[in-house]
Amino acid sequence: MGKSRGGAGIVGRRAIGLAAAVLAVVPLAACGGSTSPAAARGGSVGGASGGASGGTSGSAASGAGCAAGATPLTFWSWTTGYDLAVAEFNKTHPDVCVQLQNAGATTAEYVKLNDALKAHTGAPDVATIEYFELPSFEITHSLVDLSQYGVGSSQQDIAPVAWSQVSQGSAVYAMPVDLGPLALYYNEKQLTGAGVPVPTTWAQFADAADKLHAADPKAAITNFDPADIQPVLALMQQYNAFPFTYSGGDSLGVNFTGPAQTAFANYWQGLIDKHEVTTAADFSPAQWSNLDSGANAARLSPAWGPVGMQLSIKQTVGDWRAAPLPQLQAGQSMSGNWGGSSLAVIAGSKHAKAAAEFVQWFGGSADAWKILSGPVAGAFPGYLPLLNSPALQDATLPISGSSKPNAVFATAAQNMTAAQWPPIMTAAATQWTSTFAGVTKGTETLPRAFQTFQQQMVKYAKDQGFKVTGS
Amino acid sequence: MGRQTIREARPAPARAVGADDQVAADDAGHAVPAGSVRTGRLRPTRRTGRTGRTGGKGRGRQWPGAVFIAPHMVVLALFMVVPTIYAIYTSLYTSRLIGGTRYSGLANYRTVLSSPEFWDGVRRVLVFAAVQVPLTIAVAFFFAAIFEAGVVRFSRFFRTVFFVPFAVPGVVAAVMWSFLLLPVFGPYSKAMSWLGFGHVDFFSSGMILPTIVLIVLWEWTGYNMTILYTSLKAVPREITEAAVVGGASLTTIILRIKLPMVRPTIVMLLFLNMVGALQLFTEPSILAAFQPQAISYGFTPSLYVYNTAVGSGEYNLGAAAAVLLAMIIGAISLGAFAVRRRNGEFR
Repeated sequence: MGKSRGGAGIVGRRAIGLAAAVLAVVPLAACGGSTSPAAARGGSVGGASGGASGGTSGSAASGAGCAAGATPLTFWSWTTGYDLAVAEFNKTHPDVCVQLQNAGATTAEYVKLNDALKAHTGAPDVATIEYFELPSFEITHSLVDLSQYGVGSSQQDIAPVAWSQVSQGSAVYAMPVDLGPLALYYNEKQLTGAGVPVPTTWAQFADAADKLHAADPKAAITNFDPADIQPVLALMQQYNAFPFTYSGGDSLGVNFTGPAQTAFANYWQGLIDKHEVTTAADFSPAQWSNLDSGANAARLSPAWGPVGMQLSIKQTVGDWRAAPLPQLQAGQSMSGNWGGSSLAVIAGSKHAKAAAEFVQWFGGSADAWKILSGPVAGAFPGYLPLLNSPALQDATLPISGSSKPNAVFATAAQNMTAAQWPPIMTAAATQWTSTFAGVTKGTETLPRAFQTFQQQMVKYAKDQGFKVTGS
Repeated sequence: MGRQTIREARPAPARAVGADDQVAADDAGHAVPAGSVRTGRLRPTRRTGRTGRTGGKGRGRQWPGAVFIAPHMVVLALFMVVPTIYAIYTSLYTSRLIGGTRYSGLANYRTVLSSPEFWDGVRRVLVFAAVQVPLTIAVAFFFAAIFEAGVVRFSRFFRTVFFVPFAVPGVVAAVMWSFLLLPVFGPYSKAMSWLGFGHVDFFSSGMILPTIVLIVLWEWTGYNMTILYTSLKAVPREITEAAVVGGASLTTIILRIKLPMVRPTIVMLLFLNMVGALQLFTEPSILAAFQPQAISYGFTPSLYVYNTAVGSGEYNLGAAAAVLLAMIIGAISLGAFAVRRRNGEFR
């Protein structure tokens, strides 16, 4: 290295410049690394993304606005506004200190949680788990049975459809929080303004789609994202075509190719083929643009949908009304559930009792729900005193003008049956997108994708040791 | 004929000094030493090693070398050897939701080998590599040659500009391109339709692979260019001068004289890029987060490993796939060594 550089001078200088640039960046990166846990500790408890790096040690308790010596709890969740409820809990429960960390939304969080459980380190005390994912964690004995801490006393306050999804016999594996009952959320000007009556059956829905599309070739009645497993399964549930049957143990029913499932697939494929529904990715800019430009006259929306939707649309604020989801047969009143989540205490938690106290307060108290149902979190309650209250049902939203959409969603919440989620939902969600992507592109049809997925799920379930029944 | 010239030119003492200079500068500039250059360097090192061993008293001179390579060996052991052994161990077991974990021999390997998803991914990265690697090196060589020939003004500035994408982390680059190429709303889609190409969806099934080629090309051209530039600098000046006196055009000098002389570098880059291409992961996984419909479960073998192990919780299957992928890449690397040895390197 001591040699004279000679002709290589230019390169040498450049190299020094580069090295300097690298050195300049390194301290910055180091700073970034060290500040985030500090910020999580000292500053607002919530909103600390990448929270996996935050310490789980007791020292975290002191800075989070709670008393020294308070029992520290880590809580994984991704929902907006949960930080406010956590802050309220910490304020009113000085002996417990909950630290909220965002470990990613839905499947991303479950994957991390699974990894932490496998590694026997780094799992939180409490985690948000959607109803569909609970059995996957129950079967690996990863959830604490909360009945031993008296959480069962909340049953009378919780919508039965939610309670039945968190309990197995006398065991209670999670505290229900919110629900996602589906309704037909339609643009009044677009639909009834075009002389199309609000459909009450799926047959009328298809007729309405025909009429709208005939009047304006760019119009589609709604969006149907085949690559998103959750709304599709919620609609299948409502269509009496839910593909899984499972009630604990090692037997699992998988049926994507039965008569009801095939009818469901043919129905939507027909609308896709005629371009009467769009197939934009859910929550994509394209979907919002379709809803706002009049290209989509309706959204098959979960109850938590409107609050978020009004952040993404501008032109059609005030035009949106809720009606019950169309039915298979006239006179029925079924609804499906999209999302909805619970709080579970993770096995291995050193403070399961405090954690149980926290989750019961979170999902089952008026104090928590005042915040959770507020304008920031916008969660739709599984908590009956609020679900049945005029405060909720008569509430208005700017997006819906003076109408009262919550009343429709609250009725839908009473008209759901609990789905029998299989304990293989992580894998199902991972494989679904790639199997159904072709439907969006037009290179695959929904009935064919159902057949492929049937084979994939049966094979996966058998590989996992289940006795698989069904077609 | 060109090759003959190189072989003769190599031992020239005047050049050997220049070559070492290049390597030193190059190392500091965080580039792998170029092939043509490396030969000049390896030989003396080996010779020292040999005398050390036979001389007996060389022992005292060996420990500083061991100290210098120790950090690398520790990291290699911790992050390559140990995980590989663990992966092999894991791949021999099967964990099920019902029935727990048990030894299953080579069953996981059979599952992966009979999985069309895995082979689809392997085929896809091979196609990808066949397009991306030559393209990247050709573009890199083109710019390296014109910068080195001094036909471009401000070439030092442009060389830096070309290298900058490499300094951008792959994740950041992929996120940036995901926004730039967004269908309908992205500036490039808008530009394409403004130019009359109609609605171009960069993330459609037909376009997704070319789109990734574009992103990877953008990221890696500067890196390859820097190495080729250094290597071209090492071509003895008197050869170029003789060619100029002989009346050769710039194109002739670049293609007929310089290109053959940096061939060992190009061969090395081919294999380095090839190995990189087979491990393609960052770009598609970031694109998948933005455009879940564009990237399938087993889009590349690395994604297959990730999605089986992490996404579906089949860690054992993922381990088997990872071991197979390592074997495929290892075979290609061994092939590369064989080719380079035949070309006269590592003598």
